[in-house]
Parts: sequence; C-alpha cells; structure tokens
Amino acid sequence: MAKQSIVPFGPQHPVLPEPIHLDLVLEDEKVVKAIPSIGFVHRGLESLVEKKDFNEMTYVVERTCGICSFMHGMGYCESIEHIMNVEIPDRAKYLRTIWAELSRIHSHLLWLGLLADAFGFESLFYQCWRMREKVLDVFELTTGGRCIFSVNKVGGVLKDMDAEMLKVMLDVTAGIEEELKVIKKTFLFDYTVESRLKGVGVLTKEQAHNLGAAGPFARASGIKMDMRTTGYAAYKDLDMEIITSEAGDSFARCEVRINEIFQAIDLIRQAISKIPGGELSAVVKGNPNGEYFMRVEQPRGEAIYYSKANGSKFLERMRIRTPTFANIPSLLETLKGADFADVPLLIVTIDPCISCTER
Amino acid sequence: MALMNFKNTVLKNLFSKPVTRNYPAEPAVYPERSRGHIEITIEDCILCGLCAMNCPSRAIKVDRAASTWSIDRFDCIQCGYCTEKCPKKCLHIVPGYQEPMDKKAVAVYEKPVQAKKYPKADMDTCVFCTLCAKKCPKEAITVDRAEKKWELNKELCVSCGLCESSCPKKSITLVEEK
Repeated sequence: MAKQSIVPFGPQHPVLPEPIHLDLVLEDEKVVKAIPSIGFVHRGLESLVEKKDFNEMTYVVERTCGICSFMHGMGYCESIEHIMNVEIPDRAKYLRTIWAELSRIHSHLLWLGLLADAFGFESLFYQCWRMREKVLDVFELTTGGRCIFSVNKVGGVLKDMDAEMLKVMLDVTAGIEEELKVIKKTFLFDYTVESRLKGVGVLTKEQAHNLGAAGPFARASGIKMDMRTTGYAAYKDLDMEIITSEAGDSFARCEVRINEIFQAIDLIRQAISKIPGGELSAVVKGNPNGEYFMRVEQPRGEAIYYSKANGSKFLERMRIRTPTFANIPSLLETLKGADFADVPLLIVTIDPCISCTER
Repeated sequence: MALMNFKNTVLKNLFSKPVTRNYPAEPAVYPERSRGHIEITIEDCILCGLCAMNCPSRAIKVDRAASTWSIDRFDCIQCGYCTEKCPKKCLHIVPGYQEPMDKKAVAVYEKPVQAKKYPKADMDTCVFCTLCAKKCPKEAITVDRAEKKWELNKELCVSCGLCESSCPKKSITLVEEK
C-alpha cells in the first residue's frame, strides 16, 4: 500500500467563493477519502422565526442565499399559503414562475463561469458572466434589486410587470439564447474542455439514488426528478420535459445545466404568452395554524421548506433543506479515486452554495 | 470535437466596444424601481412607529418624545417592508445607493411641530363593530358594544388614522386639537 497523506482543502481556497473544509486523504496523487467539515458561516436564520413574525420572515428567508434568493422567498411563502389555505391570484403565480426561471438562468450562467474558471479558461468565464449581467439588469428593471428582489409576500407578489417590461425580458432572453448557442460549442465540443471534464468524477445512477443527490447533479446521473413537475406556481400550465444525461460525469453535469438554460428561456416564453391579467395578491387574514412541507426546484436542486405554525404570528419551527446539503455525500463519493488536481473542479460541479447549506 | 471554437468570440471581442461602463466618468443609470435607499417626507410622518416595529433588521427608530425618526443606513436591507406598512405613505424607496462613510452614523430626521389630530367617532352613525379597536396598533381605542361606549386613550394614540380608514360606516374622523 502506498503511503497515505492528508491535505487540508479550504475553508479558504481560490476555487471556493464560500468556506467549506475537506480533509483529503491521498495516496500519491489519488484521493482515497474526503472528510468534510461545515459550519463556518452558520447564522441561525431558522431560529429567527421566534423573533420575526411570519410576514417579516419572508425577508429573512430571502437572504439565505444571494443566488437563489427569489426561490427561497417563494418556497417559504407557498408553504405559509398552503397552511392558511390562501389561493393566490393567477397573475402572481405566473410572475413568480417568470422570476424563478430567470433566476435559474442567472444561477446556471454563474455556475458555467465558475466551471470555466475552475478548469482554467478565464476568457470563457468572463463571457458567461457578461451574459449574466444582462439578466441582473432585467431583475433591477422589474423588481428593483439585482440579486435580492423582495417581491414575494405571503398571498402573492408586491410588484407587477407591464407589457414593456415583459418585452424587454423576451428580448434579453432571446439575446442570451443566441449568445449561449455560440458559447455552448466551446463547452460541449472543444477538445481541451472535454479532456478536463469527460470521465471525471463519475457518479452512477445507483450511487446518486442511494446517496440522495438532488437537482442537475442527480439528473446528470440519469435520475429523472424535477420538482417543477409537481406543478407549484404556474408550472402545471407549462410544458416541460425533464432534462437528463446518462454519463454521470462532470461533462454531463455541464451539458444538463446548459440545456436547462435553454429550457428556462422556453418556459419564460410560454409563461409570458399565457400570463393572465388581474390582481397581484390575495387578502391574507389571521395567523397560520398547522404545518406544511413545500418542495421547490431551485437551480441547484430540490429545496424543502418545512413550516410549523401554532396560530400565533410567530411560527413554531421553520426548516430549510437545501440542495447543496443533499449533494455533499455524493460529492464525497465522486472525490474517491479522483486526481488531486481535479478536486476543485469536482467541488464546483455540485454547484456548492455554502451559505444555503449552513443557513 | 474542435480546437478553435472560441476563435470567433475572441475576434468579435477584440474589435468591439467594451461592455463595461467607464464609471464614475460616465455615471450609472438606475431604473425607476431600483431599491437604493429609504427616504422620508418627515412633515407627513405621524411617528406611529409601525415602520420601526416591522423593520426586519430593526434599522429604524422612532422617538415620539423627541419627535424624531431615525434610520441606521448600514443596518437597512432595502427590503421596502416599511414603505408598505406606513399608513401615511410618507416613506419611499428611491434609486441611488448609500454614499460610503468612514464610520457608522444614524440619519436623524426631526418632525416640525404641528397640532396633533385625534380620532373622533360620530355616535349617531357608529355601530360599535370594534373594527377600529382591532386595527389600532397601540390599542388606544376601547369599544363596548353592550354599553354602547367608544373611548379613546389620548396618551396612547399616535394619530395614524388606521381607525379612520378601517371604519365601515365612515363615522371616525381625525380632528385637530390644541
């Protein structure tokens, strides 16, 4: 047996925007085991439900993460709406869907940039983030915020989008679609990129299932699971096919996410063509009493919001299960047998969001 | 598989204008909805404290004794919940971000002295439905349906006007008192 050595990886590392620590057990250049430790940025957001009422809590939940902020707020609001049996207006459902899908584009473009950066293709990284900037401008135009929108409330949404804004959104997404078609060739058909991604960090369908992987990471291993098919918000009225890939390697994860951007653009088009008029929010009376599990599909995978209310304005318990937390066991599995030089790349392929994980 | 896929993008970037703006020589343009900072029309403020009570980050302080409304701009998260809660709609969220400062400071706004207004119920039209008492954020109104009594505790009242707007019979009006 070769001599084993332990290399600490993180919490501060150039590839990690956020802190996670891994102890990598190496045999020569091969990783044989990875031991994670998390908890560097725990903020205790969930315990704030004891101090903030259920309406104020929307703004706290939104700030769990800066990338999937909108969907955190939406998931939380939907859980409270289900407890209170509030049927939100159709227009609010569609607006939520449009913003959620635009968030998915923004998150996946960010991830593509980080991936390009991780395998050392700096100019491709800039190209992706340049496209993402246009999405952020649309967010600022329609909601007022670039990353955190604060447009959700229990019972509906706070802001409307007029025809002009919807047209801007269509134009911008069409522009991104064109640009992405060009960039896609570099990601999926380039010799150097393929040599860094193909066959690296393979996770089989069975492993992904047993370890409870979520989101594009699981779908890249062939698991057909997408919470959008459960039909929350306006998804039940839109046509979509779950995007999967069979290979289960880093290349498949990249492919799934690129195709999901095209899918998100298509969903936005469908939603804008079907959006009904009417009210933005329903009247919410009284305090919630009961409990509910809300499952939403975030860019990184399935997130679960559990809310338990007792009839007062403060919730009794609130819990968020985030996709990165679910993906860490699978990440450790993919790291086994990987080259030491591929570790940063493999960590990026789960699209880690540590602030979500630690809340 | 190809080696030169990125070539066209590189050439296009080489001969096109930069996408970034030459800030600050060319100033930033914010859209109308941009959530920059909170502004207050202090003349219209009634110091009811609803904004301070509902602020998720507790950035707003309202001092009724000193007639001041203050905000710690470093604590404010620009969520806009105060603007939604304000009964007088004197709070606005406007474009333009907070200027950098070398130390934390609280912005204090003093309300000019004005005669105070109190709600007065018209006993002929009042149906003692208790909606005003339920809506009152300071529990200053007591309604006794059996005794047909409507009472106001002037010390607690903040003249927010929520009772006036919630009255189904429109029998409450805010009247100036010297």
